[in-house]
Parts: sequence; structure tokens; C-alpha cells
Amino acid sequence: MENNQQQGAQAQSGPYPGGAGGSAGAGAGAGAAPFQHLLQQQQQQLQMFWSYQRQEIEHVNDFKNHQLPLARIKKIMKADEDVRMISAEAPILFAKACELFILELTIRSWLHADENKRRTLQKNDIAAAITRTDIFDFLVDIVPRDEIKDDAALVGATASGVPYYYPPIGQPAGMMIGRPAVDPATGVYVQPPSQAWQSVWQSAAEDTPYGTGAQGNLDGQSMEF
Amino acid sequence: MAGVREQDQYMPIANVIRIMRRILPAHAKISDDAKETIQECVSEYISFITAEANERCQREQRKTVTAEDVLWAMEKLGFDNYAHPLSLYLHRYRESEGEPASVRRASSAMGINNNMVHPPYINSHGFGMFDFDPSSQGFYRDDHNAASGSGGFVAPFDPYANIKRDAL
Repeated sequence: MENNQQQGAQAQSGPYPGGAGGSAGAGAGAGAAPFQHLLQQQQQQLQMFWSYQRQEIEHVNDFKNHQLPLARIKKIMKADEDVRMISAEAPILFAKACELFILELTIRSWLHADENKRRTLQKNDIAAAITRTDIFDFLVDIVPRDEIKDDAALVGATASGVPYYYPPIGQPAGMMIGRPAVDPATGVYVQPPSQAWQSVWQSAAEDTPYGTGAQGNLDGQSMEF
Repeated sequence: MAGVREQDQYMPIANVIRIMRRILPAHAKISDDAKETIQECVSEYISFITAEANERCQREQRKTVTAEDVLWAMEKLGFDNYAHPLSLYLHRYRESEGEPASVRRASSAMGINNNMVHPPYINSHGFGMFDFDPSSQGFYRDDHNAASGSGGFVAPFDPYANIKRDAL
């Protein structure tokens, strides 16, 4: 258990340089404490994730119904021409391993979306998770360079002491243009103008309850693209 | 639309989304490009680990990539958090293999590859697979090398610890 916590701490704290100061912008000093708290919360969430996964595996009884098809796993393994024979247990092990991988990548991505007060997981959240996590280096080619670049800028901003959750203007697709949303936990949720575009896109792309009906902006303006 | 061949490169998106939703809050939404990106990442993960496992396999002049090779590769590539619970998972799976033959037939019906027969108890030691090469006692030397190669901030993990205990 201690090993897992150490590893979690290692993976999480690596990308963040220490000693954030009040050298930039008004309110940066006040932002430092909540930022540290945010990092601690994220580390705790990841530690709880791994602790829970271990407990779940200790109690698993059903080894016949896998969340992912074994034949597909085997096909992907065999895509490497050097691979000749695969024992029956290897795809079974991979089925569980890929479950853990999807869960970890998803929660790390969600932490980034949450920092930016969004409720929709996006590709650049995944890019951020990949950039922040050393063991995910092999995935760097899968996300576009510009999304990584933006996240590098965010990391740079963090190094200079700017709170992580006030990202610079110019995010992809203008997702952060406009005023920040109020924390949903307080029960007050103000939609930034950019959300109008997002809800329209969601309506077209996904058949979910959230996609139905227009969401009004505080200033009553609609985004035009 | 993607061809059948291209679809086979990825895990089915419905399965991937179902797993993602287990960890996300109820109000979370997932964009389509995020879904596709996760699909691509999973395939890349399988290929990445498999390549490392196969490299070890060939170095030891074996033809079959085993679950132990996969666990070893994960630890070598920094996925210690995965190797620990998965070693336990593999151990418990092998225990369940001691169940009645009807269950194994069900496994066969579900498309599990039965090229290799795993007699009960023999398999629980991790040896006894028909193409196991005795000269590959280097498993344990490799483990030591891997342990020394890692950053050293984590106690060395022996993926066969459970197996060793059972063997006694």
C-alpha cells in the first residue's frame, strides 16, 4: 500500500515545480494556497483509485465475462509481426490491464476538465493527462502537437506562480473565452458564452439529456461561428 | 466510415465508454473526440507492452508470450501500479481454473484461445506450460536487473512472489 502511495505521489508531483510564488498578477498570492490544496486533492483521488482497484481485484469472482473482447486484444497483440504465439492467459490479463488503463487515463483527464470548470471531457484533457504522467509518454504521438503545446504553456504558467485554473487566453476553439463558471458545488452555475457553442455541438453530436434545450447565457448573447 | 479492418485495431467504443463512465461523475459528458482518443490510447498501450514482453520472450528463445512476460514488461515500463494488482488477478484466475470442466467449456465458447491446456495445480506454479524452456531460469536474474534499473524509490517487486509461496 505504501508503495502505491509513493508511486502515486511520484507520478503526480513530478511535472509540478515547487515554490509557486506571488510574482505574477493580482491575486496570485491568494491563489497559491488553493492551488496546493488542489494538487493534494488530486493525489488523494489517485491514491484512492489504486487502493480501490486492488480491493476490487481481491474480491473478483467472475473470470469469464471480460469488459473487453479477448479476440480483439489478441488481434492487436498479433499486429506486431514479431509476436508469434500468445498464451491463453495473456489476453485475459490484458483485458484487466486495459480496464485499469482506461480508468486511470479517464480520471486524470477528468481532473483537468474539472480544473477548468468544464463538465465535458475533451481531447485536450486527455492530452494534459498524458503530458503530466511519465508512464504515458508513449502516447504523446496520439494527441496533436498543438494541444500538447497549450498544456506546456499551462505548465509554464504554473511554474511562474499563476494558478493553474486561470489558463491564458487562446485555448483551442476558444473554450475558455468569457467569464469563468461558478463552482457547481455551490449550486450556482453560470454558463460562459463559450458553453453555448458547446451545448449546440453536444446537441448535434450526442443524444443525451444535457443536449436537449438551449442553455442561456448570463449576458443573453449567443456565439456565432 | 471506418472499414472492418480499421475497426479491428481498436477496442469496441461502447465497451470503452462503459468503463470510462465507471470513474466519471454522473453529470460528466464525454466528447466524441475524447472517446476516439481513448480508443487509440488503449491499442497503443497493448502494442507498447506486448512489444516489450515479446522482446524478453525472444531474448530467452521462447516462442510464446506468457502472462508473466506481460507482467514483467509492465513493471519494466513503469506500470508498477498495474503489475501489483494484476499479479493478484492472475493468481486468482488460476485458482478459478480449478473449477469444473463445464466452466472451462464455457470459456471455450466465449472465444478464449485454448491452444494451451492448463492442467489444474500444475499451472498454479507458473510452470508446466508445454513450451516452457528450463534454460529460462534467467527469469529471476532479469527481475533483479529490472529492479536495479528502476529509480530505486520503490522496493523491488517480484511478480512471482505469490507463485513462490504457493509452490511451498
